[in-house]
Amino acid sequence: MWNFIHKLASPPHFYKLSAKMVPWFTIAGVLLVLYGSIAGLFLAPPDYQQGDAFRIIYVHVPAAYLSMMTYVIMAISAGIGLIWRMKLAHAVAAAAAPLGAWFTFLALITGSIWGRPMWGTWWEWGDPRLTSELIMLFLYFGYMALRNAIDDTVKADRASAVLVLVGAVNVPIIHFSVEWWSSLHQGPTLVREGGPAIQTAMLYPLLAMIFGFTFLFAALLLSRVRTEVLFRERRAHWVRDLVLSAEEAA
Amino acid sequence: MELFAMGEYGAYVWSSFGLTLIVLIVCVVQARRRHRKTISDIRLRLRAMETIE
Repeated sequence: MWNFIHKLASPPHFYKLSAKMVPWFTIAGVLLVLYGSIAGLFLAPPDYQQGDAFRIIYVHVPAAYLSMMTYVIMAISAGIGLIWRMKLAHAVAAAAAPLGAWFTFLALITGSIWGRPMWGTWWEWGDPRLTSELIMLFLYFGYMALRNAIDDTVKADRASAVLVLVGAVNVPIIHFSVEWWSSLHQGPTLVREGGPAIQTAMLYPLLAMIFGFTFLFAALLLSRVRTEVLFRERRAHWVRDLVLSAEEAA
Repeated sequence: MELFAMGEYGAYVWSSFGLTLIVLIVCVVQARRRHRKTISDIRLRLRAMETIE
């Protein structure tokens, strides 16, 4: 087992193995998202309160879930990187940040588009769910700016890891904001006491979208980690051999 | 075309889905571009070192 983990964490091995995984994750993600979109847009019945506007849930929830999931992955990776000085872990955190920022942006925008017809407003300053999600967008930006400002990779890894870990308090705040404070935002639909509060014709496409987005995210993250590994190992023999054999340009 | 109208919410639903598709495409393009750039940067550096030697 340890042998396997050790081997996986070795950069050349990771680089080779991940290349094989990316296409499968992509295919699984595209198929699930295709099914989820078609079923969510056309087959699921309209909501009895929200009409067809509820269909925004099929892009909003996966984006919002991944915006937080990415942060959790970054915090865990940063922690592992700090404690065990594992280079691959820092590479994962660094590679994940732009994806997290994009999904947070998407969650905010689709939420805003959903809020306009349902709440009568695009945005409400001071709303706990909206504000804490916006703070997370700034945490991603801060993380990327900090990394950009430090040339030395090892120092950038450490400083940015501390930033991620400190900012991690925001994740439970986002998650529980709708229960702790009064918010315009509706309560949890899926993860709640008594099981999901949604009928199956609406639920299955949503689950497909959540899993589909997760596969696409995994493919994107792996691709970005590969780039990160290549850069960090740029002085190693295996990278030199790989780069100079021009076939591997793609 | 009734199917695509989304009641009175067509603009909201379709803009959400459209934007999501655009962001996903941008993510893929960014990742690819960065990978190619990293490889060509490393290659340039290696070539430069060879000429010095």
